[in-house]
Amino acid sequence: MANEKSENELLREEVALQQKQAAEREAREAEGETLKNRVSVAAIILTTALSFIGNVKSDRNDAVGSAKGAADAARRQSAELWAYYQTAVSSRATLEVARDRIDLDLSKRGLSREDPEAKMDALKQVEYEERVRDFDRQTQQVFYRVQELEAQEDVQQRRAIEPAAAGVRYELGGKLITLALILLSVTILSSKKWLLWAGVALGCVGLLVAFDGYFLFF
Amino acid sequence: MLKRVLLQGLLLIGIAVNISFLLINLKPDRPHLARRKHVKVLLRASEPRAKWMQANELSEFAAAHDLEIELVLAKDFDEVHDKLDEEAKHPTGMMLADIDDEWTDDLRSEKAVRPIEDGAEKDEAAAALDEYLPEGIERSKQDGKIWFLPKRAQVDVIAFLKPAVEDAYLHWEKHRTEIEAALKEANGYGLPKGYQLERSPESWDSYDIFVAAWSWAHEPARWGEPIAANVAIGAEMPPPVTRPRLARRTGHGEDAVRDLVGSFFRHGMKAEELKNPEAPAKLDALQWRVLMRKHRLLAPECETPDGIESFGVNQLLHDRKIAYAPISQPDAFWVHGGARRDADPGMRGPSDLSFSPEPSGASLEIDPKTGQPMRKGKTFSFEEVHLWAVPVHTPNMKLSWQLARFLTQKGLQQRETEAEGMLPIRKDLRTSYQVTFRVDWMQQVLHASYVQIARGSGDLPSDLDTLDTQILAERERVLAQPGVTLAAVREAVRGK
Repeated sequence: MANEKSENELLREEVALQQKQAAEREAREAEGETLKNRVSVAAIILTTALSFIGNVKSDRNDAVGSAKGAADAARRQSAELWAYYQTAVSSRATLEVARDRIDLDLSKRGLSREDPEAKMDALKQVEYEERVRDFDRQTQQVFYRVQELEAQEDVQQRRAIEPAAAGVRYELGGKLITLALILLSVTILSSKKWLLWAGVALGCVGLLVAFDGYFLFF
Repeated sequence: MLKRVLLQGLLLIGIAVNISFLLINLKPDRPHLARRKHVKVLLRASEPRAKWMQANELSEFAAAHDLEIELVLAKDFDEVHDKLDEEAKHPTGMMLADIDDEWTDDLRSEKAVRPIEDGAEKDEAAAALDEYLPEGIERSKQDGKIWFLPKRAQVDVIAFLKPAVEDAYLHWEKHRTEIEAALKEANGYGLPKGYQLERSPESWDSYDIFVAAWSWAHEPARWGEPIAANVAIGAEMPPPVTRPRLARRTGHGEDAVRDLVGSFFRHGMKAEELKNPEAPAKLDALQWRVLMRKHRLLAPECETPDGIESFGVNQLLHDRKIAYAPISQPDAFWVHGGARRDADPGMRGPSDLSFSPEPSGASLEIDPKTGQPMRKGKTFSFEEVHLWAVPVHTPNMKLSWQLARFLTQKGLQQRETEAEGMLPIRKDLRTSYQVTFRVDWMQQVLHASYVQIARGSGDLPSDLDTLDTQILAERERVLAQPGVTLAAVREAVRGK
């Protein structure tokens, strides 16, 4: 009798144990499911954000590239104009020397420009003077253009600073979010809840850094 | 329940974040959320210069930092000082002020300014200061703190017309007898033994100035008014005019005092001798002035009772009525013209214009043994350093620092120098000015200025403010009497 009871009890206990284990398994599975759901939601949010951040980062990099390109173009153009300027200045100097030579020659011969004997010299001198004046006018315009181009180069270089600073922040934010996504992946494999929160926290930091890329507070 | 709410909240935030990034994608430029803050910058500058700065420098900074910068202009540094004092008592949002080195001690002691380094990150200020020239650093750092940032320098040099110097060199000997006689009356000797007019104004001394001025005053100047008349090439020019062609600032203002005291220093004066009416250098310089007046060698505009200040001298040079005069960098750019597309038209035939350091002084008194001047000085000019100062109640210390740094960066200093004329205070521009400033005449202005600083320059004497009236009175007494000897000048200075 005693043995029968004990068998029944044992059976009951075994059933109870099995029920308990099943309940525990169900609870664990439910918890795992919840964790998976949460990881998925967090991952979706972060992945979407990462994609937007990637786009905006690429836009900022393009802005930097475009400003630097404009600065380079201005530099190249001003260098070309300077080369032209130098050539014009040296041609002008040649004409001035020629004009002065005529002056010296006239002075040696004891003649002035007005003397009939010096008519040809006077004619040449006038021609040289006119060309010198033309060179002056041209080089002056070239100089103004170079001034504008050099100022443009400067402004474009400064214009690249802000998007470059934003780009660095977006880059860092993106990296932090990628790391957060890795932590979330590990969470699914290990089913460790704290890894989810670590991933979410890191993702939040990444998002904040990326937001700073927009606002440039720091 | 709480956890559920929390999780839902997080989900909503996540969605909001994504929507935000989506919107950022549509317009990724930094947003300007704050209202533009109205601030003031105090400048001692002319209206055109202020306008140029506003358009080319300040507007860019203002846009980047959400500011609306109003320029407050002052006609001189006395007014800047008064305005800063007023700002200290009744703050109006002044963020930065342009001062000159003479006022730094006063402004600090009156607590009208605060150290500019307060706006910089640790070690940033010291590293930044390294970009400027030693004379700028020296004036910016006081009591171990960086109070100011160098803005620009200014030093007087000489502007002259090259054909005028050629003319003097070619023709002065024609007047040698008269020149000798005039000098003999003053020094009992005449020209120094073996005297010849130096070819280049860079090597000129007081005798060369006198000789050239004599020649100019007695020879018709085909390089003067006829060129200014701007007739067509090859056409007949108006007849040349004979008139005195040397100019100095001779009025009663700050410019004239600086010019006069500068001439004392060129004759070898030390700052501590300034109050001594009979300092030999002072008497030597005044003796030349009285001799020039007697022989009418200074342009008549300089010899009017009110005299003439910088503006008048510049105008005479611009109109080619004079051949040789002191000039500052901004004025040199104005006289030459063509520094920028919208600049005022400069003088006709500006390629005739050249620049050199100030002449060196030499006494009229001659040593009978050597036949050479008894006392010789050297070239000298007062160097002014302008600084950026932060008013004590600046609305944003960090922005004040950033603005001062922005305005003194290499590119903007170069642009401002080219557009408005100034002497850059940055090391990189001083070492590279012959490459950076490729237009010949601009290089010449800068070269003469840097040579002047290297050969002879210094601060204004600290007691000049209290002595200027006395010095001008001494000048007036000397010029009012007819004697040209040293004894006569001494007596006049004494007030006898």
